[in-house]
This record gives sequence, structure tokens and C-alpha cells, in this order.
Amino acid sequence: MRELLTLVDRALRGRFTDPERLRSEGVVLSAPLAARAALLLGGIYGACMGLYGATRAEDPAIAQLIASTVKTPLLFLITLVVTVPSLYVASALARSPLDFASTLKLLMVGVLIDLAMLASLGPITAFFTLSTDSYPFLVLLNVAFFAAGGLVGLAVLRRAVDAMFAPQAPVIGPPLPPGTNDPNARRRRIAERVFWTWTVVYGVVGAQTGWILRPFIGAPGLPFTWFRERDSNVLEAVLHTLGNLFA
Amino acid sequence: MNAAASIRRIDGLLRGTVTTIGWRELAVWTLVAGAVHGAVLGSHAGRVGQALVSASKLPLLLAVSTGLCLPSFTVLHLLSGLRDDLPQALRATLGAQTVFACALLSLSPLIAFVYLSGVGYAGATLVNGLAFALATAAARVAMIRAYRDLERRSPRHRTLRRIWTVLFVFVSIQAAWVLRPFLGDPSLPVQFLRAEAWSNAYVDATRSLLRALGWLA
Repeated sequence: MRELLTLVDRALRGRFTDPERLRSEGVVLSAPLAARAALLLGGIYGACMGLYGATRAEDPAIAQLIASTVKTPLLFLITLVVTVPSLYVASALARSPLDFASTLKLLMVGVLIDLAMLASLGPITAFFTLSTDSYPFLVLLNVAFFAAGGLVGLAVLRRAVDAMFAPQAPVIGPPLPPGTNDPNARRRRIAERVFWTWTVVYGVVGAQTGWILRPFIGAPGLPFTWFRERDSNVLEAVLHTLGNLFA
Repeated sequence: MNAAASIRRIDGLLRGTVTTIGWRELAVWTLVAGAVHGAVLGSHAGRVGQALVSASKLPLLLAVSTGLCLPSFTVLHLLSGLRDDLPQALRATLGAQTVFACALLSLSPLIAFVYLSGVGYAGATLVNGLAFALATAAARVAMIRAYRDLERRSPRHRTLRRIWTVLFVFVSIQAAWVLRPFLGDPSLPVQFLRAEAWSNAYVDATRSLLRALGWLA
């Protein structure tokens, strides 16, 4: 337990994404330990989310608490497993200095930070879950907290990707004549492209994984199930909802 | 704790000249001042039961709201590379709550005076609302003062202070809603929590607004 907390503390303090260290040693992190930390942090938030299903007035289901505790970290880890090969290929094509293992570990750091932020917001989720009966409010609150966690994780990854593609040594010499391609500007463009590819691929797959693994909160009026019927995908559902909004 | 020295330190806290008061001392002042003001707040129409209930609920409101916001505040400091400043930042936020409670305490005689002059339930609600607004303004001033040194060191502290304020207000409004009544309608029996306590402040407020506008039946 102590080593898990130390790992999370180091991740939050930016020890694994320090630009100097990232370039010289890569990401020095134990992947199995990081996965265990992700299970713990995701489990904490999942439990806070699943409290709604376990304490609702009609048909309370303790199983929802267990299901959400297990499913929340799985949501992040399954998305990582599914996307890491393509994310690695995208960054290797852009000549990233990180090998496969280091790319995986760097993405795990992003996931850990996202989950740590979420877990720290867990008490607030639990408080609102216990003190409110409004299901739509809880859905919106959870969406806001997931977005906050995601943004914080992305901000850290963004810094790490910029550092990966930064020039190795400061360029000394006369300024480049106008019209010449500045290598630093080119590196920045590549870093930006890699970061956005990662964000979009992970985001879209994450949204669909979340859709497959639902329910996390447990809508009132519906009996508890571990998984809902796999009848559509998240994009279809969003379009459907938008269609209903303006129908 | 030497009472006279402690009062001098709180005086310094109000003036923004003392920033090194210990956690325990800040907590004791917040809880005691909150409890005394709670007792005065609940004593409208001479109801001793409501006074006792409110004396216990006001410190509880501050403690619950602070406790719920602390984990994310800590994580944000670690993420921003401001771990070393965390104790000072926590002391600043706790100090602001002490100022909030002390400002309320200073308004207690005024509230008691208004009650004794025979104000009704609606008037008492208004006066207490004003007292809370004034105490919140005092706490904000204290927080900005206590953060001046931190913000000089890193502008990121300003962002964190704003995040704390938004999160704390968001949580404490719901906590106050759940813990109501603080004043207590004299026509209703004294109770610790309302029977319909477990509802959502934001949803109920929006519903009332929509109803008032005629957009909701």
C-alpha cells in the first residue's frame, strides 16, 4: 500500500514526466505497480459513483457498488490496452525517442494522474450521491469530474510529449534566413500532432468502452445488471439524444 | 492555550499581519465562534432547542465542507509542483474560515438585538442572510491577504485559490441545504434535519426558478 501511494505521489509531482529525465532515461516506472495503483484509485471513485445504485430508495443494489468499483479502473485500463499499439505506432512514425515500453508507461502515468484527480473528487461525489435524489444532476456531476480528471491528465501528457520532441541541445548560431524551415517549429508541430492523435484515439475508444461497461451509476427504475445490452455505440447514442433534443 | 495571547493572534489574523497561527488554534476558534453564532442564530423566538441544534450544526457545516474539498486541493498542489507550499496554503484557507466564523461571532450581538426587537421569521431570515454575506466577504478579504505571499512566489497559487473558492462554495451550499434548518420556522417543531433534507440544493433552486417563471408546472 505504501509503495502504491509513493508511486502516485511521485506521478503527481511530475517525477516520471520531468523533461530532462524523460530524454535521458525514458519513463522509470514499474508498470504492474502502476496498474495496481490505477485499480486502487479507480476503485475509490467507482465506489463513490456506485453508492447511488446501492442507496437508492427503490430497488437498492449493493452489487452496483461492487460493479462500479471494479468497472471504473477497468474502463481506463481496457482503453489503454486497446489503444496503446496504435498510439505507439503513431508516435514511432513521428520519430518519438520513446520505445514501446516507455510509451506504455508514459500513457500509464497520464491515466494514473487522471484517476488520482478523480479519486480526490470522490468524497464530493459520495456526498452529493448521499444527499441528493436527482439522477440527472449526478450524471452531470460525474461527467464534469471525469472531464476535470481528463483535462489534468492531458495537461501532464502534453508537457511530456513536448519534452520528448524538444531539441536535444540549444541551437547556437546565426538566425535562420527567412523562408527556411525552422527545425524547432517543425518539432513542435510534430509534437502537437502526436498529442492530438493520442487524445482523439484514446478519447473515442474510452467513450465507447465506457458505453460498453455501463451502468456505472444505475438509473432509477431500471433493475441492476452488470452490463446493459450492447445495442448501439456511444456516437449513435449521442446523435440519437441530440435528435431527440430538437425533435 | 493562553487566551489573551490567542486573542492577539486572531486580531493579527483579521489585520492580515499574523499568518503563522497553528492548525489546532485556528480549528478551535472556528468551531467555538461558529457554535456561539449558531446558538444565537437558532435562538429566534426564544427557542432553546433550535439554538442548541444550530450551535452544533454551524461548526459541522464548516468542517464537512472543508473535509470534502481537502483531497482534491492536495492533489492539485502536487500536480502544480507546489507541494512545499501546501501547509501555508492550507493555513490560509483555514484562516479564512476562522475569519468567517469570527465575523459571524462579531455580528451575533446585532442579530440578538434584532431578534429582541421582535422581528418576524422573514425579517430574521433576511438579517441572517446579510450576516452570512458580510462574513463571506470578510473571509474572501482574509484569503486574498493570506495568499499574497504565495501568489508572489507562483502565479499558479491564484488559480488554485480560485478553484478552492468555487469548489468550497459549490459543496458548502449543498451541505448547508442538507443541514438546514439553521434558523427554524417557528410554526414547525424543532428538528435536527428536515424530513426532506436529502434533496439537491441546485435542482430545487432551478425548479423553483422555472416554476416562478411559469416554465414548469
